[in-house]
Amino acid sequence: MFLPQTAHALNRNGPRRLGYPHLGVGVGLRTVHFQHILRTWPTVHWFEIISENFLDSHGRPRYVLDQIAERYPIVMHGVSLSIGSTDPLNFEYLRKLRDLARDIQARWVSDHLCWTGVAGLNTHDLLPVPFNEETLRHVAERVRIVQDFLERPLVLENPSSYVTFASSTLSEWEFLARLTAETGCGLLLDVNNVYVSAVNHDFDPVEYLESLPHDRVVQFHLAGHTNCGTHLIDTHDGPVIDPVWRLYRRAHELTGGAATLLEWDARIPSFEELHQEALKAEQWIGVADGFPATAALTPPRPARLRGVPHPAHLAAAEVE
Amino acid sequence: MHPGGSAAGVESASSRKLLNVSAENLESVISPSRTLTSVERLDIYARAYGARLLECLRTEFPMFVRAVGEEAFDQLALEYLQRYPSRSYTLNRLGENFPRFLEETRPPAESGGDWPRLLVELAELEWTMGEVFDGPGWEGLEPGDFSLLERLALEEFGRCRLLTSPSLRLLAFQFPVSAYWEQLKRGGKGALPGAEPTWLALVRVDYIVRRHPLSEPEFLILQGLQSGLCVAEALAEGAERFVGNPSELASQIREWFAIWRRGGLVAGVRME
Repeated sequence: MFLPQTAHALNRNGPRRLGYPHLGVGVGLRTVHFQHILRTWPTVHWFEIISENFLDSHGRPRYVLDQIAERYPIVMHGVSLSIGSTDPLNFEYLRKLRDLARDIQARWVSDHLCWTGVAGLNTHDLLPVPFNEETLRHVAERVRIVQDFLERPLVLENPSSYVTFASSTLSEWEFLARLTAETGCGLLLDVNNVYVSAVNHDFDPVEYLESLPHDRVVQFHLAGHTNCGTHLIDTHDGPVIDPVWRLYRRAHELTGGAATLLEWDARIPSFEELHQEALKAEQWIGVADGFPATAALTPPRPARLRGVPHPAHLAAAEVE
Repeated sequence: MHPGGSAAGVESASSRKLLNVSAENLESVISPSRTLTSVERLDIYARAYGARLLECLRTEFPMFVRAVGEEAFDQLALEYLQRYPSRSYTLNRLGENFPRFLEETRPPAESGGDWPRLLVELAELEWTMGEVFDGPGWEGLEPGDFSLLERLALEEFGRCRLLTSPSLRLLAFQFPVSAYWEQLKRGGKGALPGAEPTWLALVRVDYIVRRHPLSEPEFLILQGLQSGLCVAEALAEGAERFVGNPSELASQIREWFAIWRRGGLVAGVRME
């Protein structure tokens, strides 16, 4: 069987975290690239999937995923766990997550520190939680339940956010540090989200990075965003900007490195362009000098487009 | 999302029941930023909610969008989301109730034709196409064994049960909606077709959804076979609507069967 050159990336760049390997530099698997991947089997270290796009698939999306999972490491990244909601956890959903993770030998399962809906409704958005003791107890309890059910440490991502709550008594990084300490869960550190939220909420992104429990960082996310003048939106629709790359380099220094993935969900370029953008990560962490302890944020450039945060993926039906 | 915007949403009775705060006092819950008020910050989520879900619905009903135009579609879709907000963890089911919503809200037929019914049927067709595309199929399974049929006498054939494809969906329409869908896909909009009963099979072969126009007897026979009737019982379902000499039905069914087999509508045969 043909095997892409993935092996050289495994375990080479840093420590295992929570038993999870360092996978190298990967990209998000998107339907527009299915044909290219199946035709060329590109040299990519790993792929990340949006879990919900495959949980119920019996058609082409799942067929393609099974082939890709035979050849590349896959990580499952979800958007509907709703770990912060007051609605009961959906165990049917969790069972499907567990089954898919088993079937494709997912290296780990991640989602977001957020809630997506309440009273049975789903907004399909990653809504922020207040950072206080009450929320921490609530989320920690649910993380423990999910981890017991999935029989593996959950990995949670810091989402971009556009509001903060008057009832918050902790910073986001304090909340994440406490959550990992209390539950043993891992972190998917989205560096672009740190940058976006830092601008939106006026905090220092470097302080954020320096204050996290670095030994819990299993994975990094990188992406582009949209500058709306008064705020930033996490649109995943363009290349990563240099201030985010600089934060990434700092995060790499602090953590010793972790699996890194580029997300690109709107105006998606060719696979080659996407992959080249992702591989810039290796160049940035290869530059060892000249990085200041506190990275200065460059002034935001006004955006031409109003963006939609957070990916909305659907595979269009192929009909003859 | 409230059609009147975030402030109106905060003030709505349903919101006040959960969180009794006025838009004026929203800062007691959501902090303002240096550049945005609390309501403006909330608006970011409200706009994104609409934009994201509209994008998904446009993907699920592409020819419907082409038929009515983007502006009219967006208006319909926003009303739909108000009445049928998502209750699923997956966006793949977002449009599940859209045909029902259209049926519930459609205006009465006009003298020029029942175009609202045509649009309901177009939405039903596109939704079913999506279900067939990602639903159960028989790709990867062993090809059906039909050799048994060659050894059977006619009477025995009548007692067989033909296994239909797991992806097979049978649809009956009041309009030639499959042809209209194809016309739209080719870029033409043209005149709306007049009412004319049509029957259609959708089936997935090699992960692509295929359309098979059917006659009414074919539709009824396949429906019978799909529900588990034996061949003779299913034939009886369709015989009443067969136009022609009843003695020709036996040879016609063999011809249909060959077509269904080649098209992947039937997946095997079982003798009781």
